[in-house]
Amino acid sequence: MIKTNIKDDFPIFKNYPDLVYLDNAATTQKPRGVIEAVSNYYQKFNSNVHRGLYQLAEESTRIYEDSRKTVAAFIGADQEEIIFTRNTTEGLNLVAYSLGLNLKKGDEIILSLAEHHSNLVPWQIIAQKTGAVLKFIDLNEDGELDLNSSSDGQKGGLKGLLSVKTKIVSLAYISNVLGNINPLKEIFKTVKKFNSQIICIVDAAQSVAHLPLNVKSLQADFVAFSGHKMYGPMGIGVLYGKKEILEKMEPFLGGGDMIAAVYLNHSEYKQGAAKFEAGTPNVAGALGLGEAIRYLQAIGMENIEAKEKELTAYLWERLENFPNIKILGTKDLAKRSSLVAFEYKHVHAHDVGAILSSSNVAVRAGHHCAMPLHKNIGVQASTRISLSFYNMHKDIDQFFIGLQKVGKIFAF
Amino acid sequence: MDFYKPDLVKLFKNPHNFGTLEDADIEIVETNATCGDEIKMQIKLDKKTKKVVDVKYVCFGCLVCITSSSVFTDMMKGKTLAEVKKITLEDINKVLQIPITSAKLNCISLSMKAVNKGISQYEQKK
Repeated sequence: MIKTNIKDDFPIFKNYPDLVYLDNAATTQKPRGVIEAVSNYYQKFNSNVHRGLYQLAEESTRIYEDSRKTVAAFIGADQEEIIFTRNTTEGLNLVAYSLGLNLKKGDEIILSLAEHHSNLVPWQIIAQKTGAVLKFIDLNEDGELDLNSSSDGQKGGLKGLLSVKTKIVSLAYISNVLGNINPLKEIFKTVKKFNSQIICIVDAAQSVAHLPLNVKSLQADFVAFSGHKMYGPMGIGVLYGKKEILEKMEPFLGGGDMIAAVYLNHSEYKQGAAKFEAGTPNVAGALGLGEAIRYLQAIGMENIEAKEKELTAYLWERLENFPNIKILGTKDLAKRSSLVAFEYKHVHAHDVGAILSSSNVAVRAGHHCAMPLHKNIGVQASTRISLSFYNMHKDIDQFFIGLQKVGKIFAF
Repeated sequence: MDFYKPDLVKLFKNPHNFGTLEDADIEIVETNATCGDEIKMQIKLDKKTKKVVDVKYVCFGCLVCITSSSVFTDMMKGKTLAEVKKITLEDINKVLQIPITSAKLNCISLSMKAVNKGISQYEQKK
């Protein structure tokens, strides 16, 4: 059970008692412990890591590496497999550049039609540079990934797309528009059975704060996520990479801290995650992220999942029957996360968002960085509600008061 | 902050110059990167004076996008392309009188961006 006054843990709701924040997929609010940890770092520990010989630098290094351990334990990884990045986008770019640039002409990368731009654009860049080819898993009417159909050359079902040329499969765990939870365990099992050398990558940006994650049982080779979508600070993210693969990869960025030795014309690099962390890292961010994870663990991911499921069902029941509303994604609530995007017939999503804002309700409106997906499902822009465990029934009630205003203003 | 004044909602529902032209001299499609909206604009020029005799657009957009396009296209008529290029956001907003927030800047300027791009392409072709 989650305590009823959970919002008290989040100072922003003290500053804005009337704020109905339903844009948690964009970024979550921060609990007091996280804000204090970041502030505390700069007041008590600030110094660079892995360099100084003095006490403060020792402390700072310990804090940074402890956060790495916390992240590793949270997702079932080893600490040398945790690379700190800025965000999911940077993590996916790191893999794309360090691994993807080794692809040969004609090699194939499988994505889906429902990817966020961050899991599409880096691969487009790599494909243009190497001559590799992008293939896309199609969606059924409910936006679920097609696992079995044959391929039309560019898109199709997973089984139809897999070939001897397939080198990479990179997919979102939860679609940031459809809210569908993709069956990645099943998908990666199929992929690895087909060819165990194919690299399986997860964009976990929308899942990490909502679903328990174990990289080993998922059989994932890489998993990228952002701290700020899981109650941590902005500017810190994580890329998990399987140790054996990290060892073989070229660095992404070069510079200080990632080197073992530097000569005038060449350098030797550190091993493991350290090879991929060039320059001074975001130590305060890592500390804040560690604190966010401890906060989530104290509540319990299973409690979070249960509360968010209950809230989603409460929202769903009324939204599904609301006039002029078409919900995107699967109707099977068991396959959904706590984000729900919809189209309001004849009214643009920006207008829905702006009118909701006048009722103190914060939602996202637009293409949510997934333009190809919107084109594919024939929707130009949508309005997205994304719930957190701190939301309450009265937040959802307030959303519907705002939504009724939309109908009144446009009076179709 | 109110975009949704009754007169603007009325204009949104019946915007001026909405539709397509058969024989346009300038035709352009422009996308709003924030929301993915697409606008298609067409301009017909007088053969002799080169002034805008007709202009039409098609777009599924928000209220700010549609009403600003309506006002802008009204203003364009009877003007030379050089005069059209001088029309500013402020000129359009004198009619609309809405708060231009950072999120709304792309919406209010979409038709203007499209037209300016179309004019540059037309002038380069000449």
